[in-house]
Amino acid sequence: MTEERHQQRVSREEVRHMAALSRLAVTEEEERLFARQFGEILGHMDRLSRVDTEGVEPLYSPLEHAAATRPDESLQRRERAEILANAPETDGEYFVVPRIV
Amino acid sequence: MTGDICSFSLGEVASSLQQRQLSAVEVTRACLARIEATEPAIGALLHVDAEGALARAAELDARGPDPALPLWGVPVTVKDALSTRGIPTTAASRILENFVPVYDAFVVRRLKESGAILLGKANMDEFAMGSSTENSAFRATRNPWNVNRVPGGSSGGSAASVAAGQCFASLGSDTGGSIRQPAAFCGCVGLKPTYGRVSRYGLFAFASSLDQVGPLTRTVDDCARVLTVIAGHDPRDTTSEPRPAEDFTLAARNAGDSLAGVRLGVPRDFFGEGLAEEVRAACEAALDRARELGAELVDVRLPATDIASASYYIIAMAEASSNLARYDGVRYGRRAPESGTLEELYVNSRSQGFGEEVKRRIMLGSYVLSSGYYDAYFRKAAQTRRLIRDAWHAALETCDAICTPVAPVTAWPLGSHAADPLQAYLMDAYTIPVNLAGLPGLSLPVGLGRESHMPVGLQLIGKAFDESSLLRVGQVLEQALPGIGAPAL
Repeated sequence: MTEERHQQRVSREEVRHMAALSRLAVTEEEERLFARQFGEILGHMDRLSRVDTEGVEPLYSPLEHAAATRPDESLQRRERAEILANAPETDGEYFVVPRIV
Repeated sequence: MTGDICSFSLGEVASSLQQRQLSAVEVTRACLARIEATEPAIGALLHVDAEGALARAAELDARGPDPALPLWGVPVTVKDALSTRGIPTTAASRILENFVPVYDAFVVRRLKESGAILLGKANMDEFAMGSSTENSAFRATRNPWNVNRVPGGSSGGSAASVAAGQCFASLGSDTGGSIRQPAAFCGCVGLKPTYGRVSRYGLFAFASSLDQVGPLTRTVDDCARVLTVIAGHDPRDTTSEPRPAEDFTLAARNAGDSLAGVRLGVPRDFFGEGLAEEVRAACEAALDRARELGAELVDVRLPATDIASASYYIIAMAEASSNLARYDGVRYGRRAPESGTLEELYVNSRSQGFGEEVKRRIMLGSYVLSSGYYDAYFRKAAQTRRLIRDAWHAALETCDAICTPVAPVTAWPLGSHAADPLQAYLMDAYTIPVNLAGLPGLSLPVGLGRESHMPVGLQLIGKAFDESSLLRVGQVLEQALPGIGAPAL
């Protein structure tokens, strides 16, 4: 659709910050590309500032009914082998990750 | 004869199977042959389980038809975001390239319990992020009506598979239009049910306050049949509606041929600037037909679509950044080799495993949730969401359903939006508000565009949990409109 575009300025440093928050690494090329694209996308999002939301409660879910409760009982749904089946590295009992301490 | 089987509706084939005019193996073989013949051109599926499907069909034939199983012997496909036990499920992402689930999604189990045969997994935009299926990490799917055009997305593989006659129904998921838009682009019927109507247990989460699973089919009656099978309460999805699901097939079956007494809301803003002339013409012709059938068309006012789109992308990206934090290379999925520390393992696995669009959305999602920006973006979007939802609810108090185009254009040529993500986001403007408000939306094929000769979809939006009204109106219109036929593949 055609519409007027408002660009926000996003620096490459900000892109690196957003990547760090997301546990992602970006190449220099991606940094440049994302800085431009994020500026356009955030510029579009900024039009929300036109909306008067004074005193409006945020809506985080469209659901009307309250979340159902259930008895707090322990269940064993899966076998250990099933849980480990898709893991990249295990010792047969646990997930294995690089040494932490 | 087997050439014709694939052009049957689900209702027709189910009835032939129940009456033993066709066996489950015959129907399954016909679908597998159709897949073999059409896949080189359209690439709708990421995985075909021919052996499993034929074994299951033989097993069903050995037991014989059962009238209690509404999908007995009916071959289907499902979007690759739905967990299938023992069958690879990737969400079209490299990060899940070798993932084989140990459980079935609720809706997959329901399909199986009703006698359906799972043929394979349908292609999609990676983690459902996109509207063309070009964001799949594995392949682009092409539109059966014109293979130089996109099938829409993100459930583009599902729509192409149904339109090409590979199966009789498919399941997709819809976060901002991902069932309705590909259904429109491929000339199928697609339904996003009310938020809470269908369990998401086993659906790979994208944006949890928006996601919903639903059917793509060739007719409205088929859509009602599949919805009846997959709807219902599931304690494993806390958003699942406790009230029992209806038999939605009654709505289609008892629809009659009149729309007398039906009030259809038409938001004029949705027919304004940015709408392609050929889409406007097809939608307005369908609305004229509705009026001839007795419907009363009334004007409704709704919030501007650009505001809804801004609110939607903030919320969807924020929720995605949180949901996709689980892909860390530890418990499942891709792990980058040679990572010295745990932090490097996370960063490398995610950077290598996710595609560009997914990274974009995760990073923007982290940003709008981050300290200093949360109030200006995420909270503001959630407040705006309440205003949007209230406005839609109020508009639906004055009519039985609201009618809009599904998308401002018909299926575009492959590669059109590759360099401009914002332009692609703006294409979802008519479907997004429906997810924000949690309402049901039906995409109905109403004609072919005069210029593009591609299918056009009309969107019918109803009150929460009133899928029946949409199916009823959809059924009457489907019978009254000339029909678009099938793609010549």
